[in-house]
Formats: sequence, C-alpha cells, structure tokens
Amino acid sequence: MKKYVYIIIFIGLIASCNPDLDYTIKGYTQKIIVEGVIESGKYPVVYLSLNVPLSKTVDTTTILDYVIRYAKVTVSDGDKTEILTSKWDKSYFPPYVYKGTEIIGEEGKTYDLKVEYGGYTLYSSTTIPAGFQVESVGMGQTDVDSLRVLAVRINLNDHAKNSYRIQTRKRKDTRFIKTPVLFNDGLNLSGIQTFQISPYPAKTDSSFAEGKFFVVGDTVDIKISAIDSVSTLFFKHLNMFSLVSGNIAVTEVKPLHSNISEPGFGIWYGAAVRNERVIIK
Amino acid sequence: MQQTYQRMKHILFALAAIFVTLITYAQQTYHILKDTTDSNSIVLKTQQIKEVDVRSRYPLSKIKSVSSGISVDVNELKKIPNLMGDSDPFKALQYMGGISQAGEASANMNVRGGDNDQNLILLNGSQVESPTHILGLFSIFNPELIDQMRYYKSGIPAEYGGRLSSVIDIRNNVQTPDKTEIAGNLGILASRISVKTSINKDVAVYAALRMSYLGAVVMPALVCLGIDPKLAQNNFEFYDTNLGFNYKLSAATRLSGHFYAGNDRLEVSSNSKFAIEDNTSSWGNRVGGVQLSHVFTPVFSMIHSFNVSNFNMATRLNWLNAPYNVNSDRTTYNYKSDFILIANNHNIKTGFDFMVANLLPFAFNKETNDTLNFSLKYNQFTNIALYFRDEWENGPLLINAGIRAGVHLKHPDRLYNTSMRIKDLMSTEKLYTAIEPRFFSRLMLNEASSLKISATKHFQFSNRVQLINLGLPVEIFVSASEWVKPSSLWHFSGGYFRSLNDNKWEFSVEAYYKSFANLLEYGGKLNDLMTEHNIERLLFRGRAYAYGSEFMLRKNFGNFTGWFNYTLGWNFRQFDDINNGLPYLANNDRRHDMSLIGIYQVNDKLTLNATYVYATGSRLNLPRSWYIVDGNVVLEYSKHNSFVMPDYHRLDLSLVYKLPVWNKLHSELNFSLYNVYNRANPFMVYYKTVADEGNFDYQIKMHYLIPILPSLSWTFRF
Repeated sequence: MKKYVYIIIFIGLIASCNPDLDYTIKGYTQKIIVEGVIESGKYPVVYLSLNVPLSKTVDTTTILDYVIRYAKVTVSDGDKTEILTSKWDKSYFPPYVYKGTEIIGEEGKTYDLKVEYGGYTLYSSTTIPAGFQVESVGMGQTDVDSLRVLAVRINLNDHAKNSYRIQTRKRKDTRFIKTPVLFNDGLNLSGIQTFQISPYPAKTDSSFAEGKFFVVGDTVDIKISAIDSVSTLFFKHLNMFSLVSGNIAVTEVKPLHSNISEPGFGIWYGAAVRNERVIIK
Repeated sequence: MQQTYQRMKHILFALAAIFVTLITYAQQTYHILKDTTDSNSIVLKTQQIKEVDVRSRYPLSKIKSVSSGISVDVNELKKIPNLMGDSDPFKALQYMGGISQAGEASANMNVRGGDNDQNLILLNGSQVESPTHILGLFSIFNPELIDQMRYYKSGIPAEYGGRLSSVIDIRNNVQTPDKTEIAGNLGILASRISVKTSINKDVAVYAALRMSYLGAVVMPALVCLGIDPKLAQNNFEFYDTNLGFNYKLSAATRLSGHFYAGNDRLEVSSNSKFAIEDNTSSWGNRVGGVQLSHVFTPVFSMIHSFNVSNFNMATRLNWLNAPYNVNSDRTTYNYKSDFILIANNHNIKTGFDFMVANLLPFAFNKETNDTLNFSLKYNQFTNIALYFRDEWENGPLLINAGIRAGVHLKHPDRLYNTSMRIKDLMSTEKLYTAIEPRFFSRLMLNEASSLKISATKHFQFSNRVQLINLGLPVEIFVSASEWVKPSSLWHFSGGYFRSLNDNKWEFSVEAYYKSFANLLEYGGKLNDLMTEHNIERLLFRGRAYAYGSEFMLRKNFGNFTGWFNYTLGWNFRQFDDINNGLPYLANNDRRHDMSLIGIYQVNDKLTLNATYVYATGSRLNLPRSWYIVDGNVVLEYSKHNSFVMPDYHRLDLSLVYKLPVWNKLHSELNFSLYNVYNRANPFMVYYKTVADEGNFDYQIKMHYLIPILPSLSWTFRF
C-alpha cells in the first residue's frame, strides 16, 4: 500500500508545478503595418505602425511606442523615385505620416512602394485604376422630414474589376468619413449603377444620432474612389471587423489579404478619385 | 446386505454433513458419529481453519470480446471519485481510453478525434442529445438505475447507425427486483432518490428524481460566507426524472417502457464581456419509448421498439440593450425492429430502422411580433435503414461482418406555427443514400492473447455544429440537405490484447486511423445568424483525418486494482475556406491523453480511490496581436488554431466508508477531493477588447472554474 501512496504523492508533486502562464507572448511576431495610398492627382501618403501584442494594455501615450517614425519610405513610378518626408499628423492614427512632394498619382499607372525599417525591407506595388464617370448625385427622403439619403450614380468601367469606396465630409468635419459599405465588392456589376449612401447608423441602433445624417442645408463633399480587385479584397474583409460589435468570435473572422511583403502587413493601394459637392435640399 | 445398508447410511450422512456445511457458508463443521442412524447424534464442533481466499477468475472479456465493443463494468465505474461525491459511471467513461473530455467543465466528449456530436448516446434505445448537466459536471443518467452500459469506439456493428464515432448504449433496470428498493444520495449541490419495485411477479416499475438546489441553498450559504453578492445573482439549476416499467406478458414475451425528462436552467444577470444582460438559458432532453421482445424459439427472437426523443434549447438575453431569443430544437420519432437468429456458430442479427426528425436549426432573432418569422424555420427529414450482420465463430477465429444500407430524405422546410412549406422559395427535397459495410474480426492467438482488426464505414445525416465553446449547448442543428452533404467516416482499427500472470494483469495496444469527409464548421459571423434564412449556407465543409495509438494496462486482482490508459493521437482538419486550404490541427487535437485510476480496498468498510488525468491542451483560434488600419482595430491571427491552451491535469481522491446497517438501511459516506493540488485548469479562454477614449485594452483572458473542491455525500439504500 505504502508504495502506491508514494507514487500518488510523487505524481502530485510533479503535476502541481503550476507555472506562471504567459499565453500571449508565445506566438506573437512583430509586423510592420503599412497603410499607404496614392490617389489620382495627389501625392502618396503612407502611415506605418507595429502590431501590439495582446498582452499589452496601451493608452494614448504608450501607443506611440508602436508608431514607426524612423523608416525610409520610397515610392517609384518606374521613371521617378522619391523618398517620402515625414511629420506628425495628430488627426489620424498612426499619428505620423510619410508624404511625397514630387510624384503625383495618375490613373492607369503602377507605383512601387519600398519601406526600410529595423533591418527589414518591405515591398509592394499597386495600380491606380482607370477613370470612371459619376453620372449624378441624387437625394432621397427618409422617415424624418429634415433628413436625406444620398444616391450616387456611377458609370462603371466595364473593362476593369473595380469596387468603389465612397466617403463624405460635411463642412464642419476635418476628414472624410467612410461609408460602412464598399460598393461593388463582388466585382460583378457593370454599366450605370446607383449606390445609396444610407443614413448611418440606422435609427434603431443605440448609437443613432441625428447629426450623422445628411440634414437639409448641409454642404456635403463626396469622394468616390475606384480601387482595384486586390485592394477590394482587403477593404471588403476589413469592413467585417467594423461591423461586428461586441466580441463573441464565433469562429475565425477571415484574415485580411495584405499586399505588403513579409514581415509587413497592410495595404498599399491606388485610387482613382472623383469629388462631388452637394447642398442637401 | 446389512453391512451394505450401514455403509450407504454412512455415505448419506457424510453427504448430508457436506450439504449442511455448504449451506452454512463453511463456517461450521459437523462431526458425524460412526455407525448410527440417529440424526440427533450430529453435534456441533467448532473448528478453526486457515483463511480461505475465494476468488473468481476475472473474465477474459477484453481479450475475447470483439474489437472495442465492451460491456462496461458499471459497478467498477461507480467507485471512481466524482466531483460532487456521487458516482457517475457515464462521466467515468472518459477514463476508459480513447475518449477525451473537451476541457474543464465541458459537456463535450471526443472519441478518437471525433466531434462531440458524433457520439450515439442511447438510453434504453432512445437517442440522447445532451448527456450532461451543469456544464458537464454531472451526467443525466441516474447511476442507481443503470444496469448495463455498452461502449463502442471502433468496430461498431451494423445495428447501430447515424453517428460516426462511438456508441454508448445504456440500459436502465433490466433486472426485475426481488423486493422494493429505495436508494438515494444526499449531496452538496444536488440529491437524488429512486424506487424500484415489483407490483406482481410479472410487472416491475421504477421511478427516480434528481434535483439541484444552488439557488435555494448553496448561493445563500456562499453569500453568508462572504462571496460577492453579485455572483449570487447568477443561478444554475437542473433536474431529471425517470419512470419505467417491465411487464412479462408471457414466459417468452416482454414489454418495457421508459420515460426521461431533464432540464438545465442558467441565469446570468450580466456578462459585461459580451454586453449580455438578463440571460436565461434553459435546455434539456425528453425521451421515451416502449419495447416489445419475443422469443419464438431458443434460437430465434425479435425486438420491436418505438422511441421519441426531444432536445430543446431556449435562451433569452439582452444583447447591446436589445432583447433577443435564441432557440433550437430537435425531435425524432424512431421505430426499430431487430430479429436475432442463433444457428450453429452463427449469430445473425437483422433489422429495420425508421426515423422521422424535425429540427429547428438555430433561431436567433430580436423579439418581435412578426408572425412570418423566417428564422423559425424547421428542417424535416426521414431516415430509413436496413441492416444485416453475422457473427461467426470458428475455433479461435471470430468474424463479425455486416452491412447497413440507408436513405436520407430531406423534406422542404416548414415555417414555425404554420403548415407553409417553402419548397419553391428556398428549399427543396433532397435524397441521399448510404451503404455502410462493417467488418471486424478477432483471432485468439492462445488462451491469453488475441488480435483484433476492424474496418467500418459510417454516415451521419444530422449534425450539431458548435457556435461557441462555453460548455453550453450553443449549437446549430443541421441535416444533410441541398447545401450540406452527409458526413462520413472510414475507420480502421487494430489491436493486440493480452492477459498476464494468470489474468491478474491485462495489457492492450490499439492503433486507429480515421478519415472523415464533409465535416462542418460555422463560417459566418454572429450577425449572419439573424439575417441568413438558410443557416446551412454559412457552414464550411471539409475533411479530416485522425490517427493514433492507445495503450492500456490494468490490474484486476488484489486489494489494489486499477488501470492506466494512454493515448497518443493526431487530429487534422482540412477546409478550403480555413487556413488557406492547408491542413491544421483540430480544436480537439490531443497529442497526449492519459488517465490513471487506482482503487484500494482497505477493508470491508473502507475504500480509497484516486484518479489522475493529464491531457495536452486543446487548440483555439485566437488573435495574437492587434493593429489599426484605416481607422479599424484589426485583430491579427496567426495560423489557424495555433493557440494551445495549457495542459489539462488533475488529481482527485475519494474515500468511501460503509456505515453500519441500521434497520435494513445500507448506506455509505463518500468524501472526495476534486483537483487535489489546485491546478488552475482553464475553463474558458477569450480575448477581451476594450477601446475607449484612446485606451486600448486587448487581452487574452482565461477563466478558471474549479479549484480544490472537497465534497461530502451520503448514499443510502434499503
């Protein structure tokens, strides 16, 4: 009997080593997160940051440790090559921007991006899609008398597989606000199409506020950007993240498709942009 | 002549003496006076003899049995310590090798890499969908009523169908009791009582009830002891009840019936992590059936059974300040007939299996008065199967070969509370056929060792797909349809079984390979459950393969008995839509799974038991880091299921002390210690995301549920 007791005690001693478990660091690999765009008629803009391990709690100060401020960012259009200059941009996250001053985006042209940071070099390439035609911007009634929805009619370029990001800015806003839907994300529409910019969020939603609608009298700038199929896939899946409120992850949310080489992650995309301005009536 | 007569008398007296000795259990010896016929001359002479060790050979059941279909020794499993002191043979099955419990306080059971919904669990022939109460801590089966338990993890014979991985066939109260028996158990969380009695020599009935009392007793007591009163606003209760009868219509005909109803109810006042408030969940099984058996001749008999089985889950919760209802339901009606013929060395069984099912896959919707609610859409299907199998024994060789042929007909869906079929709108009829060959064989190498092999094909037409692994049955019921093909499995298994040292020890090693097709994973988001009319379209389909080896060493004799099981296994999944189509390790992949059971009979009154379990942590798909892009916080996952939970291990001890019999009342005290060395085994792992006003707190969190937990219970019988 005694020997069995000893065996049990022995097993107990081995098993009772209860280490301090650190689940979060294990498996974490640092990535350079790239968010870069070159719009038609504009200089390239690139934001760089690092991913934050899930073990870290960060606040407005400590999050700056994950902002990359000392990278060398180069953009090339095949003829010209430009090293972007950097500065603080507190209106955005990451609050540090790399911006060009020479190369201006042209529709149909391809642009290469090179990011050098911490001994790593990342590459990416994108093409600004060919242009398209905005036919009209209309307005529709809502169940509230003073509020409107906007309807944008676009003549889609049948030869290119593009989707459309539509952003709006009211006069009081400093930045464009994106609509939650990426139009033609299935890349299957053609001809003249009408995309409705719905009041967001819905009136039944708890975060509903009247100011978020287009109110009669508002001056609204509308920015319509055509992006290629690679960028479409990225933004399509990115939209899923913003739509899932709460965090019951029933299963994997599809990982984003990045077009940045390892160990980078993110998107470098070209956009053919059309701007419209309407006064809400 | 006279001399012969006297001799005869002496012999008769000698025989009589031996007979008397036998019926007095060899405790008294009678001395017969020579040459006398006077019975009064037999006088008692007490004589001290050496202690005699009466032992029976432990049957070579596992060596001789076919493949892994084994009758479980229910009484032995009842001795294994359980969480709350009461015995639970069903829960103890997880120590039998090949079965792994999914994790701490989980209701799931995975057999040889199979999913939880692939186990066919039968109570007197009725299917049971959810076999456990209270996050898997108790099984729904009343230990007092269980008479027989058969467990197949491979070589499943043709009479069983519909599930891929295992069969657990439990029979209540097969024996007719000689007298009225009342038995019960008084425990800390719950108590039970059961009655078995005979109305006359032909009719026996039984009834049992078990109830918990957390809200009425345990929580107030904990509040008195100083726990957070907020915690006491949550509650968990369960009950179950059993009724049944056996009626001998004639010497050859028997009718039996059973009814089981049980329910779990969970009330959570608030769960800030998930923005859930006032969550009330209720789920349970209701099963019932009748069985008629008739023996035509000693070699030919038949059994007819009709069973109804229902599982229902209903949840009401406030999520993000809006009331929601979550419902799922599964009802089946099953008629089965079996014919058994024993001829020469053949044991032939053939039969017919007919089932109609009505499923509410998963309804998740805002409370509304909308009568035409498309999410309350029922799936209906019919399964018909014919089977034939022959078990043929010829010397050392035994072959059990059979075939099961079936059809699955999925009917057009039906809307709740209406007879409206939405055939043309969204769903159509769909027919699948299935041929399932089953083969297993045993070869006795000698008296003490055998080889067994099996190759079986299985189909499963109805699945439960898990949404959230929280121990609650938050699952979608789906059946094979125009969108979902039936799941299937090829299972190959082989093993060497040996008894050692005159069967004092047993040893076995088994290897298995399983190849699954059309397994399902939920591929949508939570919001999709509210918007998608055909939830089956949100499922990913893929294949899987699992392989491994199981080792068993067992000691059958002496005061100290016990066994050791070790499984080394791999379990892969491959889905086109997950992990870029590359194979990945499944959630229930357990590289190492071990259990060690020791039972020490100190004396007639006292028994000590120990259980040690160890298993590699299960896998989860959790994010590793986060970043912000285009104003969105994005969680970054590495390879699918690359997060491994900490290893699970635990030691339990229990002490059973038989109290003296008092007025025919037999009783025993069970003192048990669960998780003796207080291992923090995670119950739940999740990621917490709080992002407000520039503060980002995105972390992996773990919840630990059960620390070292002593319990005391009293089991009685009279």
